[in-house]
Amino acid sequence: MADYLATALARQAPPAAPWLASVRARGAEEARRARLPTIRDEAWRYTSLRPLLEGNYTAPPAEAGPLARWAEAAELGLAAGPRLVFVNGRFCAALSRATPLPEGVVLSPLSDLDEVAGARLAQSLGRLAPPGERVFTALNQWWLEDGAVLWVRDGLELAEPIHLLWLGTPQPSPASVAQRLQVVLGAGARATVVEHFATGGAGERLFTNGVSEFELGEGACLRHCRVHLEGEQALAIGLAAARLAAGARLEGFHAALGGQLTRVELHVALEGEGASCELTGLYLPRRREVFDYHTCVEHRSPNAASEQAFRGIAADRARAVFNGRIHIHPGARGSVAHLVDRNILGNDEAEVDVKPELEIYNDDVQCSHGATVAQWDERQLFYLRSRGVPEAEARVLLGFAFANEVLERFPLQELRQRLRARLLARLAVDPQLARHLT
Amino acid sequence: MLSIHDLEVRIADQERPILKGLDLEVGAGEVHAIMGPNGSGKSTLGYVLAGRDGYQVTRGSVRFRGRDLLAMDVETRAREGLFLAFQYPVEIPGLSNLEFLKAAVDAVREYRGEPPLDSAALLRRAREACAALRLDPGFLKRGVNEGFSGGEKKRNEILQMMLLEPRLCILDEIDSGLDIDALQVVADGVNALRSPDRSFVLITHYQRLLEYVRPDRVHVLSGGRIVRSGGAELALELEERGYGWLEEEVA
Repeated sequence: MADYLATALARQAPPAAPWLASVRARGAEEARRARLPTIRDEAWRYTSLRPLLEGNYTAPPAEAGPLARWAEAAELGLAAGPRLVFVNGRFCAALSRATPLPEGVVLSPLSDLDEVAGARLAQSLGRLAPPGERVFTALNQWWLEDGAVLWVRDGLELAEPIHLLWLGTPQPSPASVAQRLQVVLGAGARATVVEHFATGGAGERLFTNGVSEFELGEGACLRHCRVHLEGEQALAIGLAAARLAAGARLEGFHAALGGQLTRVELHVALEGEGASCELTGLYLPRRREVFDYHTCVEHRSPNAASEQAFRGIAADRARAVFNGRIHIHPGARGSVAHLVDRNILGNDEAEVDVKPELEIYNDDVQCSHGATVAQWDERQLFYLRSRGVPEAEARVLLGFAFANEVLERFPLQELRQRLRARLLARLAVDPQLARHLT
Repeated sequence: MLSIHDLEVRIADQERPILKGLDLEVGAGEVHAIMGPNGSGKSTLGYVLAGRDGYQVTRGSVRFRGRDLLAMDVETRAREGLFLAFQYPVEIPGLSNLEFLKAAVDAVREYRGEPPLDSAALLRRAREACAALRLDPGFLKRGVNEGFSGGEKKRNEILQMMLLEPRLCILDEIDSGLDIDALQVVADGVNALRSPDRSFVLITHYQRLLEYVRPDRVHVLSGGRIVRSGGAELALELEERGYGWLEEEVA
């Protein structure tokens, strides 16, 4: 177990363009100085890396084989808009869908960037996510083979959502892959991006180590959806970091509905005056899954606003972790920041660990936070049963109701439909119990 | 239909019983009103019959359509045809009224050996019921009782009753918080459901409801017991004289 990092560092990366080679070299350098976190580190207290270490997820991924098998997993039901699909980390043109984009928009896999664009990327990549002590961010850079960029020029508005799918396929031996995204919106630009993580079929022993960066210019607006729908042997550890200039707005929608271990760290810096963000999320681990959201919203300028609303249901022997942090810097007067996290413990063997954190260095703020962990509501259960609904179905209805209040806030009808089906499959072990909701 | 004999009930872990030997016979097709002062045990009676947790039956028996009601779980009581209209209907945001109705109607029909209603048929019936109760059909898409006004909540109880077609309807203060127009609508709904094989127990504090739904029998519940029974005229007497004289008589 102790040699995980050594193995990860020893990995030979395939040949790459010079700009990418330099990015990788920086990553390797940082990774050599870092160490793996343990449950003695506060940020990893409830989330053990054992599945990663014991599973020996070290090798690079294998070739995917015939792609037609994965076409269905690539579908999110989004009828319109471009789609970039990465199979085991590598861009796959056959499953992707190109649609005309306005002049001034670059949407491309890293592997297709020319020298000029590559050099531009090498300059900026990691600016919002410097590895520092984050060993996985460093390893992401070292393993980097492919990824996606979306650059939108000032004032442009993308009418259709952009679907980015990271698809894992079954591996002969446990493998790990780097996922990477950079979005840069110019002043006043607007876009919707869906980051979709999925695996095709069973036996997908893939560890996805992800970093996404979102740079929003003045008054830009990004709707960002990130959904984890992986299979039961998939691991995902990801960082999504955003920086917002004055008046910019980020609307983030997060769902964790699959994966043996899914850990997402969201870091939002409200850098400019009047920037705002809204983070909405839903996590439903079951069996022995562990889903972990760590958020940090930093108010660095006056009159910025943030709203975080997450909900979770932990079933079976699963564990949900939510750590929500609000950090108000000294000059950030007039800040408004609210955080609510509500959880249901499905049974006695499940576990929910929640921790809201407030750090406020300013008097002129409106802040609130609330976190609750509860069992099923007895009054609601009785009401449903008193109408003849069997208890097992009543729990499914109540779980759905609780989660659906968050899901209803997600954008894109097709996305909501897909997530609803996935949600119901999670809540109702016997599909009959969800038949009145389909 | 319903036969309650010497029923003694306490709230779990409390010494003092709330119902202290209650007797009640409700025949098929009859409408009974149970009146009484606050704290007399009226709502407890409704909850115990519906099977809510937290109440302990320490004596007595309840037979419903010839079977031991107290031995049945909550959902079986409902499927056997017992319906409790809640004094305070429970909100379930995120679950639509229609989804809720589907689940309930299906469960009850399946138990009765009836084929399931397809979505279109259920929707048609639900819309008809909405029209009868003067509810906007958009009502079916809203979360169960979520943000409903007091009157809407009560009408939603009647709506469920109309679709579930129970044998015994226990209405717990269905009249509380209703203005005259809403009371008329609710009462019309109840009257439309009256039939020779369906019985009603109206739990109420006031005589007003009984002007709209005429009872066959009126009982006064006080101190956990039925202390007086009579015809519809008893309700008028209570309206004039209050409950005090009965409590004194009993004492």
